[in-house]
Amino acid sequence: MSSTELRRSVELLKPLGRVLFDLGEVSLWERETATLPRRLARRRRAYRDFARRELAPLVAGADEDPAGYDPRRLLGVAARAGLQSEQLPPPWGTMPLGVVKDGPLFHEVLKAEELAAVCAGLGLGLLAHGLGLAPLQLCGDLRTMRRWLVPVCRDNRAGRPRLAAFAITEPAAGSDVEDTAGARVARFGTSARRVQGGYVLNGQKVFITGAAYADLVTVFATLEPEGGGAGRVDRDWTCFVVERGTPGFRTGRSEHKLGQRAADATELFLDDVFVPSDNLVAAERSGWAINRNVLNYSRLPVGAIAVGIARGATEAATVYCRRTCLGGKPLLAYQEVQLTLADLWLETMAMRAMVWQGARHIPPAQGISSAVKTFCGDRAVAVAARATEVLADDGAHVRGGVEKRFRDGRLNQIYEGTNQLNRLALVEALWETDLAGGHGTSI
Amino acid sequence: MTTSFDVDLLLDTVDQLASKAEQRLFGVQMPDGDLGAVHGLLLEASSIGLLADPDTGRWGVWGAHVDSEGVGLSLAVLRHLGRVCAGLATAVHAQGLGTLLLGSSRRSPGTSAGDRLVAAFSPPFGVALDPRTFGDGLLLVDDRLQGTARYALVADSADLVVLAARTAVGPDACWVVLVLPVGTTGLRLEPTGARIGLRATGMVDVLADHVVVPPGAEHHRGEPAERRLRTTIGCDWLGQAAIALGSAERAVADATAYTWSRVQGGVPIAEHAAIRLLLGRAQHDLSVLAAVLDRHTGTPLTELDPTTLLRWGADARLAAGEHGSRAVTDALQGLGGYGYMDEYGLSKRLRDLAALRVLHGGPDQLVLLRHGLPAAATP
Repeated sequence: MSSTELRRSVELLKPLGRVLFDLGEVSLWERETATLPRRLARRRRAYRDFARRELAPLVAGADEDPAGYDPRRLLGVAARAGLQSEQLPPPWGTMPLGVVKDGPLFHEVLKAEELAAVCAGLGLGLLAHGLGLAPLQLCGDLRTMRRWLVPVCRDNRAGRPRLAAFAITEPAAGSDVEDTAGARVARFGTSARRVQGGYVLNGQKVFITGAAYADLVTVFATLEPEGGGAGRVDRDWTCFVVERGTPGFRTGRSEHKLGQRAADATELFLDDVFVPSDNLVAAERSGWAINRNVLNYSRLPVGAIAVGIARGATEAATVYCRRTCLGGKPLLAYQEVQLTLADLWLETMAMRAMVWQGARHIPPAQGISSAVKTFCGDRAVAVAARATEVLADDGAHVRGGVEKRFRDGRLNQIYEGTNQLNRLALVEALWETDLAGGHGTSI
Repeated sequence: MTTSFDVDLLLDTVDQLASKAEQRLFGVQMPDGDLGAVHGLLLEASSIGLLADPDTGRWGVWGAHVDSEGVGLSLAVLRHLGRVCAGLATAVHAQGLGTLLLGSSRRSPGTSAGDRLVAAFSPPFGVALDPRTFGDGLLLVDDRLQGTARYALVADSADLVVLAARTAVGPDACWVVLVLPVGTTGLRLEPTGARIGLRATGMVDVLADHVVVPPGAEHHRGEPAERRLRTTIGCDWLGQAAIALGSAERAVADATAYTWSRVQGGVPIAEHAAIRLLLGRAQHDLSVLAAVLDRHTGTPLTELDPTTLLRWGADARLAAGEHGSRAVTDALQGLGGYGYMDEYGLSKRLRDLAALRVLHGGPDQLVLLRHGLPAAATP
């Protein structure tokens, strides 16, 4: 917003001075998009258009009645739009060219923000597919990639949705299998033993996003140790692909959650499930490394989901303050309201800046990813809470459009490792170089 | 004079009611339980004297006893009920607020002796205290009521509605307190729609379309009406804070029990520094909120300067929004993924606290209004 006086004053400057002065009335979204390479800017615009067109009509129903929401139509539409095959480049998938230069996750964080800005639950339901495929993508084993990743990406690219899910969490083991110290003594129940032609898996998983509809699940199990004794997560964990319909493999209940309700969190049961050797991902006992790297990659998009939630809350609060009058004038005209809205916008900008900076690290690093996930998760909840406050009583109502953001955001402090655990992961990552080692400090 | 024995007896009764309520108002399949049970629970609360009686105004939460004995007992009851269900506690609180706004007035024409449940209009304090917004609520001109009172806390089966209206737009007009049967021609109670929490309490916008106010329906006008309104608002904030405290106390207790049962790294997570920090801070938050709430509990309301009451109420509500909410969210975090699932009850408490945090106005409004209060009268 530039005053007439300011414009007149700028006009008096020399041409160079006028060029250096920004008088453009361009939205923040457009300004930030303009800083991206053209290929990513195009993607960002496409993701936003997709989210507004396909997700927005589903938001209220899916949140109110998640059990009655069937995601399969949306999965098909997303597949046809190329959103579900971005794990591989053409001709197999739709990964944008230039990932080597831009960072392998830049398009993913753009997508995560745009989807979550409309609905974090519906967005998570789509994004969890990428998490399910991540072990296949990151294991670096061409045999695994050809056998599993290529056909899944091809099918999705052709508009035949095939959904993947990622399963590590168990009833008695959650965050502790996501950090080094906890993993050594984690009570991890899902086991694998070698048999003729493959492996037999037994155990249970919980809170598995997308498992209710997944066609295949990347399951982590402790392979029986060579020399006997109890298996250890950090030594014996192994990743397997388990397909829907495999005898002994079934889904249980989907949990009733506080938020991100459109994305199911489902139990999985494995009772003497036989999987052929072909279903082994990479190598036996390589699961710990695969899992850790999957988290390094996934925590950045999770941070971007938080940005989307904060942005959604901020935009909803802004619209409300523009439309709602108090004492004969819009809320937007009150200085105290302007101060709060400024906080919401600047916090969201800061979060996005951190995510985009994090996405430039090639490959993603544990300390960076954990920092992004933790900071953005915490700030998303704070932004959403502040947005509900500015709406006051309407903030507690569904019609206000922000209470869902608060509920949704709260999950970002928990999944992909609690924020407490992620802080410790940051410490672990910086220990040798910046903390105990002190090489990175200037003191 | 109420003795400590009487108080203990009463709170014991409250806990018995709360125990029944817990069975009905918590459910895995329905995160807010069976909301159809609320009416029966309120009637039971009425029968044991917890619900303020609009006829006599004497007993129950925010009954006339607060004038002589202070608000301590009402706050204690709400805190106990809040430990089970903040929504049910808010319904009891709302009934009391309606009764408090009426004061010791007699029953109105058009109401009957069987009427028990009051649709308590606790006016958004922005409208009640901020002269800029005096045109946004109800107007009573020439015995006709016009306009909208938003966010009235109402039991579904309410018989009466207690309202506060202005006699004209602008700061020179005055306040009027009136009571009307809910079936009054031109009076409409429109549910405000789905909310994040406090779902056991009904909430409506009261729409008045040229409602003819019969003689005798008006109970207070001018300075007495404004005094009652201010007292009610102060008690509204205090009650909300007490409910938030009860709810947060329960959340922390449940989380503490969980952390001793959950083992990670070979020991109960209660022994992990991360969990001890979460729960330690939550306990500190509870202490701060309790201390603010306790400030004037023993002082009879008649001896409490209205400005002091408002300032105290604002402090308590702000502390509830900050410390109560943080205690609940930290408690929830202690459960990790399970805290996010409805089954463990923490998510319901978080939703209820989120609703309480903005009930009848957001924190910034509260801070500004508190700042604008005149200096308290010198005792």
